[in-house]
Amino acid sequence: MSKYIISSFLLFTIAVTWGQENTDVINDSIVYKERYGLRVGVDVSKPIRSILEENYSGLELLADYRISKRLYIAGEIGNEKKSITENNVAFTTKGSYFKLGVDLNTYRNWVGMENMIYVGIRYGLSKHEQRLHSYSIYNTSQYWEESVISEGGENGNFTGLSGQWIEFQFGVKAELLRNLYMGVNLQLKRLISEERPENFDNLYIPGFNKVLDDNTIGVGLSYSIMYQIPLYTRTK
Amino acid sequence: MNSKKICLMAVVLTTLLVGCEPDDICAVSTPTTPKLIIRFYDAANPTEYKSVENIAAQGVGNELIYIVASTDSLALPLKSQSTSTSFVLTKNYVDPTTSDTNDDQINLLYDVTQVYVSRACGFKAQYELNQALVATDSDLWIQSIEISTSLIENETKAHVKIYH
Repeated sequence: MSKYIISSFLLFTIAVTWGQENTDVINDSIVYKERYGLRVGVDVSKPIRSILEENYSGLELLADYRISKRLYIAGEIGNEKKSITENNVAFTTKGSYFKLGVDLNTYRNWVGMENMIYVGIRYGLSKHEQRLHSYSIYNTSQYWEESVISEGGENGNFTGLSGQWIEFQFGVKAELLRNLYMGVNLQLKRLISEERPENFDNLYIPGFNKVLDDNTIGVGLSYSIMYQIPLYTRTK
Repeated sequence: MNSKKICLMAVVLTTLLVGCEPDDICAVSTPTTPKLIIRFYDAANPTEYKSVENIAAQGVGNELIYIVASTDSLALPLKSQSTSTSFVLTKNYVDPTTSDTNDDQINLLYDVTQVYVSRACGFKAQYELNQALVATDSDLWIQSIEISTSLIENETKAHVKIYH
């Protein structure tokens, strides 16, 4: 009963803030139905980066499916190509990846709203290849002034590479218009196994991002737009 | 908290966090391409080190003198994109007017293996020394040269012995 009172109070607040023009909100929400469905979307940061950054192109599609009040099965599938020039190596990595896991909504919504502040966990897998364009042989003495090796030597394309990782996500998905969501998340990843090129290393893994020299931690960020295909509703 | 506020907060937070990324600089402590270590021994007493007074080492084909020192050991850089390097070792370099000044050329022939080190350092070279020779001249101060360790993968022990 107290729940009902609080909810009604909250509804009243919404009604006040949204003004009089939107009276049907009240009528809708009073039914207490929660929408269940498949939400599909795209990571908008990747196409934007593809336009702005000369050395990057990528696309990621994402989806989640609500299985209970707070739990969603979620996953991403994507493709990336990234060229990096460091002081002593220049290379391009390209390939595809997918991630599968669950999201747990930790946010208690007002009645009728379906926003998420969530924590998620994913298993990630990439299949990629890496081309070494040029490199230098590092020498503490510059006496012979040797040049960068951009042909022959160890340069070449390394295929059949892969990476597997566990990823934690922290993010939000907020409903901007009915069934249209915007999502932002921060990703922390830990590489658990990889197929490395011979006499070289995975320096970038699609979906995992930059691989550091001294540890197996990766980070990522995603800004998404998602559309929810409502399949059914369930009474609260 | 409404949707738009949540979004804005999340965007600001994530952008701030992702801004921190470590630099990739090759650390001095990382073992990279090793130098050739030469030790000088006494030709009369081959187990004893014997230092060379004011020895200058200059790479053949290089205008700069690499080092001048009074020492019983030298660490010289080899060319990693070639299979031979030559150095002129000049004894008593400081005062070239004295008759003691003496140039001897050593030639080092080797195979190179390129080994990946890291993102920051790139690759390093390792050498397999095949021959160490003293070029013939009329007045040699080097009596003989020999390879003591043919695989040059670190700088912890001598690779070449020179007797004088």
